[in-house]
Amino acid sequence: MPFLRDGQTHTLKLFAFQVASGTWKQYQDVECCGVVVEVYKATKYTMFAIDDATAVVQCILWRPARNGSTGGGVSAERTVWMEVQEEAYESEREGLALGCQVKVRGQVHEYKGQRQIKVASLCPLTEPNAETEHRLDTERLFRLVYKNL
Amino acid sequence: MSIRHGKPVSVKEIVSTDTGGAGQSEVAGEGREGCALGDSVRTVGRLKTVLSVETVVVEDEGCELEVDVALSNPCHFKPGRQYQFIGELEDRRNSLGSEANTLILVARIARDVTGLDMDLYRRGLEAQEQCLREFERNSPGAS
Repeated sequence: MPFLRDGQTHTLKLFAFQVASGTWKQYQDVECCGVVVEVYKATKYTMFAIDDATAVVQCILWRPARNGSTGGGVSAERTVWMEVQEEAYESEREGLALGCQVKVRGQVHEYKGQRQIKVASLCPLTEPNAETEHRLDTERLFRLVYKNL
Repeated sequence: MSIRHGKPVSVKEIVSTDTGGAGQSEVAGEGREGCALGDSVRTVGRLKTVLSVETVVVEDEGCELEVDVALSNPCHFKPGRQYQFIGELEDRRNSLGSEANTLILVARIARDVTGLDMDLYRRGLEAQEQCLREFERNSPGAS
């Protein structure tokens, strides 16, 4: 179902109820938009939930791994790259607050029988009509593309 | 997930809710299902009055609704601006012990959405509702 005719996987724009329903297989790339209704900031990850008026879907944002930091064989480029990743994570984490509107891209995973999105990118939305635009676009894609797959 | 999603409803639909405990009400003249006490809802309205630090009044389509914002995220309320609330519907009698038979929305989320195109917003919700119905029809196993 997630494959289009060109044989490639695509990021699907979905409503939260579609992610939660389990119709789409695991590891599917999805994009959802909603209001943050729960945030839990742990040391290694940030867990949050978004509500798009159809369901609440849990999302997990992992702190970038610091591989090889103890081995002593890390190149300067790699160190800079890790710092950039860390800064990006911190800034995304800081921006997550109750009531803010976000667009989330990531892979669907299942944890303890519950579907969640492993976040690859997180974009805060300040434009009040952004959610409506996403809603109309998602419905159009479902009607014209996804339904016929 | 323990948190329930906020079902999108208008202020008018909330105001027409039967607080007598008869369950789901119907929006007068529109043939649509309204909401019931205890429901998680999401609504949008223009802020009319700030009654106290804990209570505000919003209006939409000529209907007014009292919102308890004591538990919601901090939001600098200004009369005349549009706000979106997600929360649970409660009977005012439960919190005040009075005989007044009015509904109050206990908000857990409050957002300033000034500039929201209400016509487009309603159209988006209709499209979403249509998609939800079609999805459920095509996948009977889906929740």
